[in-house]
Amino acid sequence: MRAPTLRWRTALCALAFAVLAAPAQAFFYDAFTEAAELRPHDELEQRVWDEADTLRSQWVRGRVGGALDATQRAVRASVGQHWPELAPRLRVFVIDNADVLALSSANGDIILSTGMLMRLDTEEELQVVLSREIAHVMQRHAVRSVHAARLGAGANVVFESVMNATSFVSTLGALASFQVTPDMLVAGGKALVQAQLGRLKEGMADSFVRSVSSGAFDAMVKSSLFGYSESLEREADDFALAALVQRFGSAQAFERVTQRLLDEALADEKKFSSFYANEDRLARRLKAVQAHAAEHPAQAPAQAAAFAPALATSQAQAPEHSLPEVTVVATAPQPYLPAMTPLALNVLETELALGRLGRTMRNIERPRAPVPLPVQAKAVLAEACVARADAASTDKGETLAREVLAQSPTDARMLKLLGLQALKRGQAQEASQWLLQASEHAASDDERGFIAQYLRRAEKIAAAPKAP
Amino acid sequence: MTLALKRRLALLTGLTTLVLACTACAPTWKNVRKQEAFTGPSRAYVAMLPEDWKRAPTDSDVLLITRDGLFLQQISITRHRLDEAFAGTKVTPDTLPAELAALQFKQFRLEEPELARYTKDEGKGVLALFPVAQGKPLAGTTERVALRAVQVDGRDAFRLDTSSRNGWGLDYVSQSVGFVHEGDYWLVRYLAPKLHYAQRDQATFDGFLAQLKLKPKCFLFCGD
Repeated sequence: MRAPTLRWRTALCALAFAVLAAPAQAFFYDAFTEAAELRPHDELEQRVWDEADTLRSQWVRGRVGGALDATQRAVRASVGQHWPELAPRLRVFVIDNADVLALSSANGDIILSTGMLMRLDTEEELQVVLSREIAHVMQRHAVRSVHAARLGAGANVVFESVMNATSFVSTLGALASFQVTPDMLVAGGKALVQAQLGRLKEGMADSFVRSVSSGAFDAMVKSSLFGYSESLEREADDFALAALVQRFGSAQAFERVTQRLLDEALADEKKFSSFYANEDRLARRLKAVQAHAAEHPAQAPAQAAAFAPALATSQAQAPEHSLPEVTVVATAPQPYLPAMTPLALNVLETELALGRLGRTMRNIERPRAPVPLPVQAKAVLAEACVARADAASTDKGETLAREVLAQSPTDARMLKLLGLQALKRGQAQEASQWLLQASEHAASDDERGFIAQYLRRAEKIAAAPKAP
Repeated sequence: MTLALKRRLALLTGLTTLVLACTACAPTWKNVRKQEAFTGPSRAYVAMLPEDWKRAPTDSDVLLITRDGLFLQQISITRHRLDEAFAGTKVTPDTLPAELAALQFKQFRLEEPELARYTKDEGKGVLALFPVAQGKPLAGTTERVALRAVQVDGRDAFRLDTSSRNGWGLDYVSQSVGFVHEGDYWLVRYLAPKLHYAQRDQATFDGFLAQLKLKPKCFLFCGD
């Protein structure tokens, strides 16, 4: 077979470039502009919606009761207030999970974790997170990501011909000439480059989707949910910023939340959150938000209502995917999610149990005026300090424990903490005193069992021959 | 018979004998026809293996037994050197069981894979029929159910009960008993699906634990 001519190869490369370099996601799946449009429009989107229904059961399990139910209702009420048209189409869930999670599915499911809610101090800040998730739904980011992956596989067919027709080195040169930028490395682009440098994919684009196992498709959908491309994330940011300005007169809350999460991510002792954003992305988002703030000075909410005609005008100039007009709601200071208080304790205890001591301490110690923490938070802080094992933290932890005991002398947890600290210092008698009190006031046999082990250790230390 | 033919025959016989010998030596699962005592090479413990269970082949102190298959129920004994038991955290013979329990729970959580793990091979061909990765616990699903102080043959230990869910949506129950013995960290663990099997074999695990004896390590000239 004769090697293709240069003109033919150039045409093939140009075609492949057009497939890759064009904003392929914008060719299909335009954003929803109103609630009535929120439904699957083709087979691929239906499949993504079906998978999203399955995904919900992995996160939302069991009956929701008590404080979690009350918090969920409060969050749903906030969605209803600020997104009245969309609210009937969205299903918002709050899950009792200490991780910082905010997820949305193609079908309108939005999931927030109590760990995330702990990082949001006002309803305005809650809307920062909700707006972004609603953006992912309205702009159909899930199906667009899956579609991009399919396009990437489709472009393989073009490259296959090129690769067969010419040498590997020439193919690399052709790829390099496309100047693949980070923006182009969406899911499909990555697969494309990897496939060409590794092994060639078989089949056409459509059969790629049909031939993957349901498990793989499931994982692909999950990847599109948890790993949107940078360009899609920027779209979501822009949507959220516009929504916040429309509703609250400014996007300052967006900057506050992003800064807070970034500060925590930078200081965190381990990977901040698998499912929200990493440090780099948060840093870029902060820069974009600050640039937006410089261009759009804040307006008081009351004044924003008077700007309604201007809003209508700006909507005419706004990008294609504009928002439905909404009455701006003034945000008077109110107790924020009062039902969260017991859930906050769950978050703190979980973080402590997992050894995320720095995170526990920061979560307790940062100022959060409208959001009172439970009184037991001080005890959790004491345990976190002591667990750090450095002298300064240990002293701080013991001081906190004594403060708790000053207010609550029968707090078995703090009695046990001071007993353990004495045990570690080898002060058997002092340890036994604290531990005997702890055993007397322990709430359960399980707790008493461990205290009994500590007392046996204290006896061993007391019985050990003293060093001369 | 020519000399060359004799040599070939001898070589063939030798190779066949070698293959048969290797096959005979190949480790296989051992059926426990009636309750029997088992001790590992270090003799640091004596475990009573329950009747009708099977023991995985091992030449170490690690014990793994099951009745119906490892995904249906399993009891295991594992041993780690104290300095290797928990990455990044120093454990000593004086580390209290409650502290060991906290480290062990963290370890279980760390062993959870990423939720959206996807390898290209999983989507193709025969491998698509066996999504083994789905068998691992889903990220964030390991939960602490109970923690209590126990004793194993008079030695202070912890018992940590956890539950998790794997990629197939199956809930699993785990009961782990951990302690320090002879300078090592030991973990005795029972793992079974919550549905049917966990309850069915609970008494077997409780009996296994009650009869577990801890001994000083001994490798040579050991008396029983």
